[in-house]
Amino acid sequence: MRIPLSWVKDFVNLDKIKFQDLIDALNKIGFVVDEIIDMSKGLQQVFVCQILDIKKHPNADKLDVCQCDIGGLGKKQIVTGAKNIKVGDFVPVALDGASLPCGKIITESQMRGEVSQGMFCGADEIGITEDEFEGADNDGLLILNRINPKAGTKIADTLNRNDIVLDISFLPNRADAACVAGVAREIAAYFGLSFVEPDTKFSTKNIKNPIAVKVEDNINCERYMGAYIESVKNGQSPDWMKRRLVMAGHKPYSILVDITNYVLTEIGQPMHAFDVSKIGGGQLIVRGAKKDEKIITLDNKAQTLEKGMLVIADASKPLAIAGIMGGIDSGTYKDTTSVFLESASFAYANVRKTAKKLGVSTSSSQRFGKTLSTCSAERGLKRALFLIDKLGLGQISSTIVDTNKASLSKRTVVASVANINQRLSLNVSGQQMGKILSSLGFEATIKGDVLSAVVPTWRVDVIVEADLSEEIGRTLGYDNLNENKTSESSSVFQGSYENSQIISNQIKNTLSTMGANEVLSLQFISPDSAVKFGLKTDNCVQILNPLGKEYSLLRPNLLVNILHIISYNLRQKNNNLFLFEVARVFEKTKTKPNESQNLCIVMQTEDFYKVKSILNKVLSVFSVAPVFEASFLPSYLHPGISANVFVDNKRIGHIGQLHPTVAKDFGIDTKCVVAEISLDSLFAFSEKRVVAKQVSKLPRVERDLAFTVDKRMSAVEIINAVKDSGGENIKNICIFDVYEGAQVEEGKKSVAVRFYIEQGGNTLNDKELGSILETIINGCKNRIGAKLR
Amino acid sequence: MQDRIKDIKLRLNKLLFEVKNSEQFGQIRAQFFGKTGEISNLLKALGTVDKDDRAALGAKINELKTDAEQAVDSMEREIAKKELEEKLKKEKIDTTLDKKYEFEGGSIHPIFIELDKVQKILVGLGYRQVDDCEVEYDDLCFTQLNIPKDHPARDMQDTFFLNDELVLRTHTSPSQIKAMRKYGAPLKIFSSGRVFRIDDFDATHAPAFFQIEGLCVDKKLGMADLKKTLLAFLQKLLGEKTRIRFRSSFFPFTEPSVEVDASCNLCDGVGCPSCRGEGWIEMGGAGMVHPNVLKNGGINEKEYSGFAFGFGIDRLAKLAYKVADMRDFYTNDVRFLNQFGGKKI
Repeated sequence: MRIPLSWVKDFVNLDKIKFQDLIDALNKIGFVVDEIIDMSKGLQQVFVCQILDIKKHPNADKLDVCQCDIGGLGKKQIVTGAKNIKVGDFVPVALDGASLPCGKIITESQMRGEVSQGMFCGADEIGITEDEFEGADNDGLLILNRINPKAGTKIADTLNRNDIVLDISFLPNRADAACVAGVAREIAAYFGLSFVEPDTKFSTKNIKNPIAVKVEDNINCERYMGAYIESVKNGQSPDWMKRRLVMAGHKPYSILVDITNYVLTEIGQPMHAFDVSKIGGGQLIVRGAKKDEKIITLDNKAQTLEKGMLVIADASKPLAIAGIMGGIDSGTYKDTTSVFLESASFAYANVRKTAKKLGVSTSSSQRFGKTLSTCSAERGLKRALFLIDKLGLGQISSTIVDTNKASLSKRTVVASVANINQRLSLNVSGQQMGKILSSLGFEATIKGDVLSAVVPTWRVDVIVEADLSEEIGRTLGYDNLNENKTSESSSVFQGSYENSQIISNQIKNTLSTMGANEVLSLQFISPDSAVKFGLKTDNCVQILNPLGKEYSLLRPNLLVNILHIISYNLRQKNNNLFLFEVARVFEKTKTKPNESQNLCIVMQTEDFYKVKSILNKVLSVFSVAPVFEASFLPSYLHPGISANVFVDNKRIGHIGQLHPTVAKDFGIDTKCVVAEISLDSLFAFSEKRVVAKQVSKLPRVERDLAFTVDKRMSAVEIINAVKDSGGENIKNICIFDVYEGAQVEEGKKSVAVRFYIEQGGNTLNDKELGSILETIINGCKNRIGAKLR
Repeated sequence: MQDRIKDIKLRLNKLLFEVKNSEQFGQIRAQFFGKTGEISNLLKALGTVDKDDRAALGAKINELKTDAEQAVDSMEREIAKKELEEKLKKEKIDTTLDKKYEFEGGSIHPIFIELDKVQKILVGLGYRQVDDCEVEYDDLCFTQLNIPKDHPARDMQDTFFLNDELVLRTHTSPSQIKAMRKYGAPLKIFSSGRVFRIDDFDATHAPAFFQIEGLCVDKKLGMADLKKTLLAFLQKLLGEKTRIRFRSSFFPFTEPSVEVDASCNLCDGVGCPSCRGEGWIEMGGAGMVHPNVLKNGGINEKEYSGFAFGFGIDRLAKLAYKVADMRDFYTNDVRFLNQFGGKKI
């Protein structure tokens, strides 16, 4: 929010405060200054001048050569193309060296043979708009005659541009301070200066009270105040008010609207002015909206209301949506002669909900959407009436309407000085605490350790002892907090990791050592990607308010987003990709979605077995024996080159070559083998203890056997046949060669099996070895019909 | 006989002197030591010698045999050694050449490297990790943390909703409530992971980021305990010289609440381009746990107090590795990722 510093000075004298100290203080106490805007920037070399003489340029039809008086700076010759001037006019002139807000840099120069010692300025060239200065919005130069300026004065002085605007981020619990007076009060408290309360005195005349107010919903409208003003002269606001509003970021409209914005900026209270002639039946009713009730708001939009919303209505129709925006029909215009000025307290939850539903956000709804005190309504109204009275804009002809005076009852927080000191690790006396609180508007009394603080009505955020400690802490500042003044707790704490984290870190280290790059992707996928994966979007977890359609689903697997990453890298001509990710995936249920930690590996290769071997290596962390079975596979895998992975008869994931259609859909033109498993179901296995077995002292015997078997026989079946027939001394059985072709009969394949025979206690002789091999050969023949080659 | 012995000695020495390669030794051995070799023949001829001379001559021949065998063996070893050296010399390779193998790339993602760094420090400070879910009940994400429904404080964290009751967690703080309820006081835990907030995806923002937060509940804790912990933590993370400062702030679940700044470790707080001339870098938020939050966690707020602190890992990683654009973390160009190849977690 933009806070003009000159406005702050209305309420606190800052003469003795250094500017940088002021900025540092605001940042420390929680009012972060995002930007410091110098309103006179670019106007240093711009002055008011009076035109003394205008002559046609001898060498240019469209130019004139003017002599002008710049007071103490003497007389200068300026060449101009402007046509809206006459001798005697006052206009801004930028002299040599000026660097204007519009970006132009001015130098003394020759123009078609005539010297021009500067440039006359139009309003836009010096950053002045019609909002700020009436008459700025013309085609030519800015004519200043209206304000009787003095030639030679700086334009920044003449137009009151010597101002600094602070753009401040306010904390959401401090709606009370998000205004000029609020900032002034905080500054005053911090520096121990006195705060000047805004003047709210006004006089009334011819009390009439023509508008009766009835609040039907006391929960959503905690307080409704207002006043009737007649003989209103609505028109342009004075320049000083316009300038303040423009600096604060408001657009001036007419004095009645401008005063509500002025009070909003100054006091923080949103207000609304109704044209009394448009209020039917002399009554304002604050009531719940009826279903499908319609209103055209000030921004000329037709809004259809719902039950639960709050409106200000007359006898027959809604005139305003409470706390959000007025209706176009009951607003104030040029011909308005009498107004009812509303200043109310609406419940933040209701305003927030309504604004959200209607898709409207106004400075009023933003204010009411925060916790604003009911006392703010009174302060705001009285300040507005003061301004109306002072500026002579109309006659205040009513007593102040107030539906809930009782809401002003004050809250007292009772606290312990010792507790506050303990929380802040300080040693501050109760008296000092009381002094700090008083400067912030609290009424504090101390009795021994008991600190009683009557909370100022505007501080709705202060409720408990801890809140008081924050007020004291931030005012004293945390710079002197001594980190060695700690509590003397004897508690002993043992730091530790979750098992799941230890395991996934191990897996990440293993894979990255093997050459894989860990990737990080968002948890969102698009419905498009889901469809490409053969997933129904209805079966995915959907986000109600996604960033966009492409981010609207929570991912049910990691592969989708990794494929996007593969595709990107291939476009970058990065090859031999080997990526993995460990992250959560989401499964839709009737209630809270299931979350599970997955691992996905993608390798740019044709070799299924390479990735399978990597997966086995990863699973070795868990000391489990995975089983691979090619059935019921996801449709995005190659139907012939893929398998489900089982551990303890439980499916934990799958591995396979990416289906060429899916690959193509993702713009991947090489073969990839992918594996995705759920780690959650495996974490429990990692706690299995290793029990070492005695290893034989004798060397083991390596043997190879070649069998002819049925072509469809799987490796697992063959290995199991060898294992089952050979017994437990046969170890490390593997198939090292498979041959199909002319050398074997149709429908068969030749398989070379290698294994080791453990010798146990005694060295085996040739005869014994022969008999073991015989047993295996016969066993395989009986079990799987294998023929020794 | 004596002459023959001498002759054999001479010829053998000559042969051994002239021998060129180890292949010749087979022939030499056959010539002298074979069944019909010269030394064997001498022994056979011993029968024809005078009985009296026989013993002495026999001893001489045996001596010749032993000496000859030793001489041959030793020469053979010497030649073989020379030959091996010659051979190895020829096998010399260019060790400056690099060949490409699959395991040459590979890296842990920088966000996780940074997360690990932070986690290790917290574990070292006695914090126990608690794992938590990413889809959370509105109640645990907000209401229990002192942020009622429709409360203005909800504006601070623009939230993704799944429905009225479920949200994508906007912070890791629901872990605080769960841990307090599970373990009670005293307590020291940390929780880390992805959190989600509606934000455009640009150079400094992402709709999701990694957060880590710590919570300590014990008797009589104050702001000094918080500061001491954060100082120890940030000195470990950023360097021993690091100083910290607190600025007043607002979080619904802490009171007082502060923003934590650390002195810039490049300029030591003087001001440099890295800290935009400020000398300080914004690190995260912290504060004393709000009594309502302790109460909601089932802890007696009169007996115990607590402090909590939280940091965004993405921001820390961005600073630590001088990554200009937040999106680089999510683009996953392997050329970017491989720069982190040396780091393990």
